[in-house]
Amino acid sequence: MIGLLIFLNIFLFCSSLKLSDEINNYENKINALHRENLILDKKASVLSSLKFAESMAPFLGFTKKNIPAYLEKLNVALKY
Amino acid sequence: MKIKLLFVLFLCFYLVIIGRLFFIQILFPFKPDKDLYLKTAKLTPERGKIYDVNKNPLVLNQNSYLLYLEPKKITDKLKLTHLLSESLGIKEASLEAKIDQTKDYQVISSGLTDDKKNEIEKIKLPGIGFEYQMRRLYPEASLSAHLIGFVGKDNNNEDVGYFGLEGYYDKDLKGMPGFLESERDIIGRPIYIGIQNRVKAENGRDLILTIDKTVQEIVKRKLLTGIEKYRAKQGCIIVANPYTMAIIAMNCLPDYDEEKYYQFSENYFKNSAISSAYEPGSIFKPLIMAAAINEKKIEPDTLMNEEGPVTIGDYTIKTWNDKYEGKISMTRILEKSSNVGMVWVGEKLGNSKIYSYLKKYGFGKLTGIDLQGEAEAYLKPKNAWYPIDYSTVAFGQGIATTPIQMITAFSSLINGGNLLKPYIVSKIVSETKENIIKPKIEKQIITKETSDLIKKMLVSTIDNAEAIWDKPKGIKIGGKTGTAQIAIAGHYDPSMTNASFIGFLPADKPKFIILVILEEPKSSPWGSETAAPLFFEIAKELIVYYNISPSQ
Repeated sequence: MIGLLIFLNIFLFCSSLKLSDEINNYENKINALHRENLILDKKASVLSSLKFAESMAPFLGFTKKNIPAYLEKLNVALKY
Repeated sequence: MKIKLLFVLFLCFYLVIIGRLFFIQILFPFKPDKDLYLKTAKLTPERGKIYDVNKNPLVLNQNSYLLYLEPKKITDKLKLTHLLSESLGIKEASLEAKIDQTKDYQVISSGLTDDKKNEIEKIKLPGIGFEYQMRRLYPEASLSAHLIGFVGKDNNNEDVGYFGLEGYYDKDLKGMPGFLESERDIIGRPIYIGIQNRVKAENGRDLILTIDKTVQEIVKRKLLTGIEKYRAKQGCIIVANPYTMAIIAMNCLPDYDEEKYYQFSENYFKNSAISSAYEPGSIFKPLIMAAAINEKKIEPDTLMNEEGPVTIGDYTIKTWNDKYEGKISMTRILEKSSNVGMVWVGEKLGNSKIYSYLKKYGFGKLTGIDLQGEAEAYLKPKNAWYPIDYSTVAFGQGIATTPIQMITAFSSLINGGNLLKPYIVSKIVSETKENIIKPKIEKQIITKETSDLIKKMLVSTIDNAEAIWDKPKGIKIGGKTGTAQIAIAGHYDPSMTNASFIGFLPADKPKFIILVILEEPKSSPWGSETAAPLFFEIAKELIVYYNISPSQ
C-alpha cells in the first residue's frame, strides 16, 4: 500500500514536470508562431502594396507610354 | 536487525534534511526573488489593424525589439561597444560613454527589426538582452498619414494613438490587456500543481474603412503634381459618396511620415481637411441659391437685372471681371459666378432665412466625422451680423468653413436634400463580432425637387462656364469653381486666394463628389485655372477606375 502511494506520488510529480514542460513549449511555440505570422503578414502586405507595384512597374513595362490614351481628339484624326 | 538498520538509515536521512532546513531557514535564511517563482505579467494585446474598403491593409503590426544591456554582466566592454556600434550605426565613443557599469539595466535602442536582432544575437557576448515589443507597419507608407494618425507614447510609456483614426478609435484599437500569474521553477517552467492564473488579453478591434487605397493614391499623386504645377502653399482633396457621405479618399499636403512622426513639427500633424477653416468663396453660392429655390423665392429661370456694382453701406460689390450682362437668369448667375446676382438672391431669401439655412447646412458645429482633431469653424451669433455680412455670405465671403463641412453641406444639394454625417470607418471587427456602421441622415434641408433643380443648374454651370476645361466626354458633370480672397489684417488681398472646385459625376446619379482646395496658388489666383483642371484630371482617372460609361 505504502509502495503504491510512493509510486503514485512519484508518478504525479513526474507527470506535473512533463506537463509543465509542455505548457512551456506551447507558450514558446505560440509566441514564435505569432511572430512568424507578423513577419509573413509584413511580407504579404509589402508585396500587395501600391508602393511595391510602383517600384515594379518600370521592370514590367508599365511606363508612361502605357497610360490609357483618352480618344477625345479623334475629330482631328478622322480628317485624314 | 535489518529493520533497525533501515530505521537508523531513515532517521539519519531525516536528521540531515532537518539540519539542512534549519541551516537554510534559521541560520542563513535564503530570500528568493519573488519574481523567480511567482511570475506576474501584463499580457499586452495586439493593437487592431486598419484596412481599406477592399480589405487591403493600411496599418498592420510588426515585430520589434528593445535592445538593453546588463552592464554588470559585461566582460569585454571594448569588443561589445565596437560590435554594437557597427550593427546599430551609433558612434563607438558615444556608446561606450553611455554604458554605466554600476547599473543593472540600460536601454540602448528600440524599434529593432527581426533581422537586426538576429544580427546582434550573433555577437554572442554576455550582457546583451532583448525585450519583445510590437510596432506599427504602414505598407503604403504615408499614403494616408493625416487620416490614420500615429501611435506614440503617453506619460506612462504606454502606446497611445494620436490624431486621425489612431486617436479617435484609440480605445477600440488598443484592446484589453490580460494578466498572468504563474508559479515557475528555477529554470522558468510553470509548476503545474502551483498557482496558474491567466486572463487572456483581448486584442484590439480591426477597422475596415470606407477609403479606397487606389483612389487615395490617385488623389495624393494628383494633388502633389497640382501643388507643384500651380505653385500652391498647400492643398486638400476629399472624395466622398454624396448619398452616404462615406469618405472614399481624403488627402492634404504637405503631410508627414508616420514611421518617423517624431521628426516632424506638430503643424504637419494637422489634417486641414477637418481642422482648417477657409472662406469658401463661390463654391458657397449654390447653397444660398438652393435655399432661395427651396423657399420658393426664386426659380432657375427667374430674371434679375445685373446692371452694375451694388452698394451695401460703405461697401461696393462687383463681379469678378467687373462686367455686367443686364437681365440674367438664376442659372446664369451660377454660370458666370456673379457676386452681384448672388447679393440679389440673398436679399430675396432674407437675412433671417440666410442665417437659419447656414445653421441647417451644419455650419458652426462639428460634422462629427470619426477623426480626431476636427475643428468647428466659427459662425458668428445672429446678433453680431451686419447687413454687409448677409450680402457677402451669399457669395461665400465673410464666413469660414472647414473642407469637410463644405463637402457635407454641398452633398445635401445633390443627394435629394439630406444632410449626412461623414464617416471613415464602415466596420469595427472584434474577435467575436462585427459592428457595421451605417450612413446617418442628420436632417433633410431641401426638398428632392429643389435638389434636382440645383443639380441641373450646376451641370449647366460646368457646360456654359467661361473657362474652357479638358472635360471627359459624354459624362454629365456638375460643379462650381471658387476663388476666395484671403483676409489679412482686416483687408482682402486680391493676389492671395484660396482656389477651389467642387464637382460631382455622373450628374444624374452621382457616384462621387470631389472637393479640391489649393491654398495660395501662384501660377493663377483663380479656381477655374487651378483647382478645376485638377478636379477634371482626377475625375478622368476615377471614370476609368469605376468603369463609368459615357452613356451615363
